[in-house]
Amino acid sequence: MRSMQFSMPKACAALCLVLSAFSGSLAEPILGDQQAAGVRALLPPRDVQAMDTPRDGGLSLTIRWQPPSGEEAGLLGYRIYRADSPNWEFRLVGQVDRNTMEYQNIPNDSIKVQMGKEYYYKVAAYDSLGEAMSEAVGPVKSRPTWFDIHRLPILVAIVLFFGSVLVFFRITKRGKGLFIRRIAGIAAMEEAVGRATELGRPVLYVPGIMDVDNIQTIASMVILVDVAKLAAQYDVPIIVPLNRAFVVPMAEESVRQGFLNAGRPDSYDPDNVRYLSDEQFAFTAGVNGIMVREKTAAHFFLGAFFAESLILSEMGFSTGAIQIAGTANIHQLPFFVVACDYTLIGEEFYAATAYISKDPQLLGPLKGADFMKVVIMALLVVGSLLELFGVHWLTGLLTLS
Amino acid sequence: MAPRNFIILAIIAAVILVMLFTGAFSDFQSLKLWVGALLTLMIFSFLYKDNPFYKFAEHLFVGVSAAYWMTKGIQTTLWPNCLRPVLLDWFQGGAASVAADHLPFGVLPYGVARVIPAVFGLILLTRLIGPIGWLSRWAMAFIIGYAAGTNFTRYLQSDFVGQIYNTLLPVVNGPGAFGVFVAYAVIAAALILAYRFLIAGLQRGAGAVTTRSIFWIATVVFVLLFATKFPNLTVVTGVICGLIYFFFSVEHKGLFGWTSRIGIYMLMLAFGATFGYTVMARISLLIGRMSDLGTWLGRVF
Amino acid sequence: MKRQIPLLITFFFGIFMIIQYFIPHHGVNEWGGRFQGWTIIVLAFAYVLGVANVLRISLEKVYRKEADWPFKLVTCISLVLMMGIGLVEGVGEDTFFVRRLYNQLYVPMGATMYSTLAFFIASAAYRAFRIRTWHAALLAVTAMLVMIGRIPIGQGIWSGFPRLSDWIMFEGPNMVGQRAILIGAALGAISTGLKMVFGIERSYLGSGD
Repeated sequence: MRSMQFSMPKACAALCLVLSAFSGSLAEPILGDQQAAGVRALLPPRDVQAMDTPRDGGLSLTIRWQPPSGEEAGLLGYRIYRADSPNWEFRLVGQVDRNTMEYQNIPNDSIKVQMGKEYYYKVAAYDSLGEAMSEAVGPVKSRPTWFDIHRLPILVAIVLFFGSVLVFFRITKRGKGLFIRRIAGIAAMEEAVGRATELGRPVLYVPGIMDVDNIQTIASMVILVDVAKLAAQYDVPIIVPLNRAFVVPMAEESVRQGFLNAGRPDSYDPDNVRYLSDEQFAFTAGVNGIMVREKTAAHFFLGAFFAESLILSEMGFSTGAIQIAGTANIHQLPFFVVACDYTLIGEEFYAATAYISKDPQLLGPLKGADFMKVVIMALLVVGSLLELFGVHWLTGLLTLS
Repeated sequence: MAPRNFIILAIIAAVILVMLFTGAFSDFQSLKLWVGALLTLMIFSFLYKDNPFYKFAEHLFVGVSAAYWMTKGIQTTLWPNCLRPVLLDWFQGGAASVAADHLPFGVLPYGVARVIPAVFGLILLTRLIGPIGWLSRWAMAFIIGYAAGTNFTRYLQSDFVGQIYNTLLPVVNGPGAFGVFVAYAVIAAALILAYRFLIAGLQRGAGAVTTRSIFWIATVVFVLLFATKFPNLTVVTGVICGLIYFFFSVEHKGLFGWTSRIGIYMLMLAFGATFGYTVMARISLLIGRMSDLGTWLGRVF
Repeated sequence: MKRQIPLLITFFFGIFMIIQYFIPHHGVNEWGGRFQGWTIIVLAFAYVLGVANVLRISLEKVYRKEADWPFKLVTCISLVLMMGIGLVEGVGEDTFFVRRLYNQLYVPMGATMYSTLAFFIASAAYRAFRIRTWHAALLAVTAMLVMIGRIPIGQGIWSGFPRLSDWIMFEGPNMVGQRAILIGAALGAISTGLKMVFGIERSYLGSGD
């Protein structure tokens, strides 16, 4: 017995020795082959980190790593695995090429991230022969961001703008008048309607070809109230052809309100607010027809326009009508400038309603915009000088991503 | 029958006869070519003057296009995204389906959230019912609120902060350029002084015209050289002058007026560039249409 | 109430969309995306109003036998027929609606109208090059330089024309002018948005009747 007790540990040790020699010898041919070929065994990636993706919605995690130490000629890429616990089976989440050292587990992946749940990740470097897996990292859980700090410049701009508007509101409330310089195109609106009255022909108002989700269309609807009021005061019909169906009720309300403001609600003719077509050039053909057959004498092209601006303005010019255009679409402005008597460029178009109505509440935002222009000019001067001396602080601040 | 109507009917009859003799109705491709060509000619006839053919084509175009967009809107937007899911939820799935899952923060079940745009849409359609037409303003208010809020930040990001960021440029490139800049500044000062003390006060006469012409040519050449030598400074200065043009709170007089004038000149240069660029693009459209007409003519003759 | 509720609705959705821009939280973004889907659906409902408007005005003119009433009938018939076919058959690529009606009627007429731009631009160019003021001179000269730079004959006259044309378009005055307009227009747009959201401008909602 004593000899058996004595021999068991020795047998186990001998068995271990044999096994390690065997595994070494098993490995040896592979290593030997690879060594013979001059290629090392693949090593796992280094310094694997898993973290919550910054400034995201809370459904994304980011995994970063460094390439394996040494040169890995046969390396094809990396595979990313995930599990809810380090002892559970890890499932493949994604795969990237050898030059990428980062992976984001995002909502679009087939294996999604649940907000607030803990996960563990492993990254494996792989080649044609197999994988080398890193140790598991974690736990990591995603958290939503409630404020994107990179958008702080926008928030500062909003606060500045709101603040300046409020200041100007207070100034107007105290009864102090606010000066606005004369804008020829806006001042000519009444002249245009007056000319249509003299000729006994209607006014044509085209509010652009975009839908009501475009801010230019909304601005055009607001100006339409004032132009309709002028038309009502001068007792001249105003025809409003429309390119988008949703603008129909808005245009009807605007024209009706204009007539109401002028004290002539009975003169409002709903048949003069006409939806033609959503198609850009069918609309253009229809407006051309209106210009020629109904012989409109004053044309207002105020809103968002595209290629049809040339046709409308040229056709209108050929009829001899007085034309006032206004748009923020830069590429259409040259055609309006060439063919129209007056053109409101960009911000002048948006300023029209405040200018016409002289309502103190509407002047506040206009003055606020001027204040912001002063801020911009100061930023440009200061920023350009800083850039000249290699200081990129301001450009860094204005980078939104 | 009025002579004009007789002529129009005669033309239509002649066209149909030509189509018959040239086999336009023999196969679909021929008919397609004829219809397209005739409609093209009808639209082009407006370039001469308004006429019944153009009126026909215009009204046909308006009717067809309005129907096309409405049908597409119903078939591709309303039915699959609103009406069908609502019907499936409420009538097929029942209450359990409606309350199955909630939107974030647990405010609304998905089933109820799918009904809300349909409710807004139906409220919009009350516009057609006189006494309750005022309800449609609620739907308008929703769209306008959404549009105003979305555009607010979009314009701030891309057209405001984005443009300012792109304009923050070093006005002079490198220390070696400082010397050149000083030289240009001296020349600019000399030109301004020359205008102030020499050119502005010149009396009329052949000599004055010649002197003025030489002065302005020299100024234009100087400005072009300056702009190409210091492009960043030109950009920053040009943008500032352009913004001064859009300044509403101060009368454009004196130095302010001068910078505003430079601003509008910059805008005119931009308009000219866009105009010239667009001319080339529009000509190519005409070439395409003429090519189709040429194909049709080839088949006819 | 007829005015207050719409103003509240505008305020709520406007403020939400502004605040949503700053909050990456997925729940907030999902709500924003849902509102966007709602607007698309509500805008689609508006087609009914548009078609009702077309039919009402056209049929009234036909009924009263006003000028050009036969053409209004063409509009009504083509609209009703095409809509009927489309709603019954569907709008797939291989349907009669698309193959015949859209491809044979809609497309050639649209392309023709688009091509008339070439004729109108000729008349616009003629007017643009009648130089009467400094502004017109700048516009005309720049346009000419850009056009010459983009055609082979321009390069034949002077090899620098294409480079000059590119500089004007992409690096020089065009970029400067556009930037100034964009910044100004952005200020105008955000002030209009502000007026809408806070109900400072409310005339488009009517008088509340």
